[in-house]
Amino acid sequence: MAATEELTNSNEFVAANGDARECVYQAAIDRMRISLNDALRGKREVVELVLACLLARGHLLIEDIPGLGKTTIAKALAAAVGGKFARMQCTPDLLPGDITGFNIFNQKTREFEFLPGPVFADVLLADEINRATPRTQSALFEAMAERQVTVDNCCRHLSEGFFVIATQNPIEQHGTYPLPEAQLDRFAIKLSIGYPDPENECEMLAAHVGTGTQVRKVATADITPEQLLVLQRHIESVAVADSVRRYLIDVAWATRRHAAVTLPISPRGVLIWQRMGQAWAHLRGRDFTTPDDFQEVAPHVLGVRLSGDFSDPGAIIAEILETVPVPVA
Amino acid sequence: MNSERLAGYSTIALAGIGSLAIQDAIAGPLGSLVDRTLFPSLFVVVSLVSFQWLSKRARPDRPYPRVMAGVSLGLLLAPAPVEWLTRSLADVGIPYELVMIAGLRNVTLGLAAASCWRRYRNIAAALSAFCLLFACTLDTTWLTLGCVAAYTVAGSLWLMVQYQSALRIESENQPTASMPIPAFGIVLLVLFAALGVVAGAGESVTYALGELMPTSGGTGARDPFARGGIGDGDDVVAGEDVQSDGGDSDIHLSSPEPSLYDVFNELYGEPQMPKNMQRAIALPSERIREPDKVSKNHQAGREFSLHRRRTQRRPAPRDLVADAQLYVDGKSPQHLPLVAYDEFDGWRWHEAEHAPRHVDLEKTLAGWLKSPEPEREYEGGTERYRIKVGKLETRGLPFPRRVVSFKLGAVDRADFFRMAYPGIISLADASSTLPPGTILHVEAATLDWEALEELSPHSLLRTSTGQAHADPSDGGLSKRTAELVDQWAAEYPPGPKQVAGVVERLRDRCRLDRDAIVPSSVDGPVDYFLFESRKGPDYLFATTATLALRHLGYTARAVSGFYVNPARYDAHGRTTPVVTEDAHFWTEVQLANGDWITQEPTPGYFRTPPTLTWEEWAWTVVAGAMRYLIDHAAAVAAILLAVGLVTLYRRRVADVGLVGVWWVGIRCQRRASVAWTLWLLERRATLAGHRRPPGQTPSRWLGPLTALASEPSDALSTFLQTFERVAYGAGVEDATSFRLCGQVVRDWKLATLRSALSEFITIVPER
Repeated sequence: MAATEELTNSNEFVAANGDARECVYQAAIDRMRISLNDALRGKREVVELVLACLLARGHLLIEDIPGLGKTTIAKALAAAVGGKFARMQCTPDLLPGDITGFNIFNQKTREFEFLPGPVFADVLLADEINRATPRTQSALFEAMAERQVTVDNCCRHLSEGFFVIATQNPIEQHGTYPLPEAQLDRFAIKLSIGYPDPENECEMLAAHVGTGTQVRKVATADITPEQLLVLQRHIESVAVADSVRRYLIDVAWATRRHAAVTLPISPRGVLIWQRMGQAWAHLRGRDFTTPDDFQEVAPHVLGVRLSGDFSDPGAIIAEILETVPVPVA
Repeated sequence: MNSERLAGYSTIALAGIGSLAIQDAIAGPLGSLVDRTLFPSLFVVVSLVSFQWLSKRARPDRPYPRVMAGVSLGLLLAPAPVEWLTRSLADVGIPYELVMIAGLRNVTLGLAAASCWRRYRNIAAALSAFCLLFACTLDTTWLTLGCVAAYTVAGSLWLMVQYQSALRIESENQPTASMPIPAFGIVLLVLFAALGVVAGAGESVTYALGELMPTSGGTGARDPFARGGIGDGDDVVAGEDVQSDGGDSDIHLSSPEPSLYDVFNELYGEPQMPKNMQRAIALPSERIREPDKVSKNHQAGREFSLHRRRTQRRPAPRDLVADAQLYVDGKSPQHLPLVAYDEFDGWRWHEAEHAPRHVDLEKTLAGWLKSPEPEREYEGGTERYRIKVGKLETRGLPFPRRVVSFKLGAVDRADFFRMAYPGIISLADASSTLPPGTILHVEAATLDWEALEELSPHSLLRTSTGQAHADPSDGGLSKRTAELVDQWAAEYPPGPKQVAGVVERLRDRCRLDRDAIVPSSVDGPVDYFLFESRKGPDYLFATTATLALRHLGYTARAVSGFYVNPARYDAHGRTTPVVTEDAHFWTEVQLANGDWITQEPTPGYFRTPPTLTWEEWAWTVVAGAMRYLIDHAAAVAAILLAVGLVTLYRRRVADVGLVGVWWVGIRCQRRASVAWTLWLLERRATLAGHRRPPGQTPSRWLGPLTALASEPSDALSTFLQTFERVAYGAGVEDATSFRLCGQVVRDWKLATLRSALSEFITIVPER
């Protein structure tokens, strides 16, 4: 398989430079893109955003009704990255230790041994995160932000490519613990997958004829976690012009001045937004960002952060983006 | 529009109103509407543009830019060199206090332009209020009043917006710079020190501080560009509210300045006694041994001879202005009668023997002396005058006709005045004269000439019942003159219309020539004037008119005095100087009620028009505008045609200009050629009515046009990619991009862009 060959050439992947490096990187991204699009048909924009979030070293919150492919894309992504995948079904009785792991006394060795929790995976799917208690949510958020956990006064580092995909159901709120607005800032973007269009839904049905409810398994990974780290570091080098950077600040201040917004974007949110824009530009094959890159990811980046006296954050974000002048020189 | 931006706009509005008021004061009463509004409009536009520019680039998270202190200082001092230049080069200037307030106006507008910062906004609003108040102290025109009203409205809006803006800022926790405590401390210290000095040292210090104000008059210094011809310099300060004025001049000392008689001699030449007249006078034997007393007339103003030597004119009118006999602040033209002549002996006018009598005057609480005479139906409103005596030394008060009330410093008793001639007031003390520097405040009624002409014939006093009459033996008209006058009079009904008609015919028949003299060899000056020379100085017109009116049976007299010529109005001093050349003769006829009515027989001289009501004023303005349009029909039509064409093809004209700017811009290399090209496309789209939304990137804006099935789309697509690479990436331009820009400009002309954008707008979905 081509993917296997690429995996065997990890050293070449890391050592590549110049135009060759760009080709190798784009090829790896294309492989992931294909895999994710195979898993989630007709949702190219969602796939692009998921990829951008992954490359920007952010975490992803998917808010949608059940059955639209949240778990599917999380699994497909974990398989494409080739790292360790863990799934965590959040319930009210889920404890922080269940996430971070805990020490257990080994009768044989007469010592405490650490049993790592699901956060020690490369890709973690936290399903129905709003059903976990705030205490458990906080433990997860700390791990997401710090990429480390502390158990019994012992600090343990998580995987460098640690990536969380959390899901929540927007309509069934009984017995849930809504995520604190301030803590939503830990996620890079919030997505809503939505229903597929009829053609893609029909294709989906055809693809499952003969397989029943059996879940298809991804045979091989598209890139290794090491290669993902290289890609993520490369994304950070995508150029952001001064004028574009100023534009980001202008938009951020526009959210802070807006009368309807009570919780505007924070400096940390602006940093994540910049990384998302860089990743988006790279996905478009450019080594520099334009205001378009930031505008296109803005509804998802700002949508998870802004709160206030409005029901439709998208309208507020669109209003702000329309009023803040983009730099043209 | 957010509250911050609205607050900025309202601040600029306040600054603009203050600027307008200041400019109104600077323009003065003679300034046109353009003079009053052009510069404030330009300043406000500059301020608005600067505000827009600063708002886009302002960093609210940064402290207030301290560079504004330097900018404000520069704006404050900027009018000084401009004033120096205009005074040096064009001999045009404004008083120092207006230079100072112009600088303050600049600071106000400058800070208003920076009103995206709250502190500058507040300072600008305060300064605009000061500017408005200052302007109100200088003058109160209709524009000033309008500014006050507009400021009230804009100020209320500003306060509301400020309140809302303050709420927002507090909620945003906007970082602010620390307050300049030391600066405030210094200001407070200076204020307290000044108050302490004034309180402790008393009036002397108050007066000294008052003299710090330039051209206030207290220093005794004179400035040619000082404001207010009456009241500036020396020891006189003019007040606006003259009723409350405690008096401008208490100087009533004799001085060697010229009298009215000397003025006549200087203007018309010294009188000479004709030989035949010398022979005609019978003298007692003791006076024959003293011929000087016969040939010279020491009784200044008592008689006026029509025998005159030719005199040399003063060549420099500028000197005449400096040597003005009087300065009049008030409506002009105006006649100021000083001497009335009743008897005419064929060559000389004699002041009739007139027993000085008491003047009926009532003293008001404000110290004014008011005439008890009732208001006449032919009066056309009252006017106020301030008359400053210049070099003229006269006992008669140079007042206009129909004095309602007057004030002469602290001289507020009626017995200080007498009626020198009917209707002409003078000082009661025969040895006193009005010395230079005396300021007279007068309120006089104007006359409605049309209403006067509508009076009945009985309203005029006829000779048979009047005191003034012609003596046919030595002052009457010759036969042919009488026939001519009768011929004129026959065309009009008896009464005021006949008087006006005869005077008008005289004005039409002869022309004014101050240098013309009547030879002593002629039999009568009036005949010579009417039938031979048909030109002469004003005293011949006055003599002829007076005698003609007397011939027709009306009570008439010749009057000498001064004519306030509106052509001499001095915009700097806001007064009309009355110079030697303004000494004048005219005629007066008497009404049955005793009033003397001015008749002006001399061409080029006019009677005082009545005070216009608002409706009449508006109609006069409209009629004047219409008359101007008719007189300049060709020029107006050409301008309208040009304006119409430019308006019709304004987009094309503007596009040509924009392409010119683009052509220069891409060669100056100050910006990338792709940036200039995008600038041109944006301006063209704006002209086409499809302005790029500020939040839309060029690619998103023009990108859909590349999908249109048209030839230019390839170049546009490449251009957009190049623009992004140059503007946001590390890309550099090369010759290809330069050519690409030219191609795009040629492909996407105004019409092409307009049709493409219109099509795009109909098909593109919203983002």
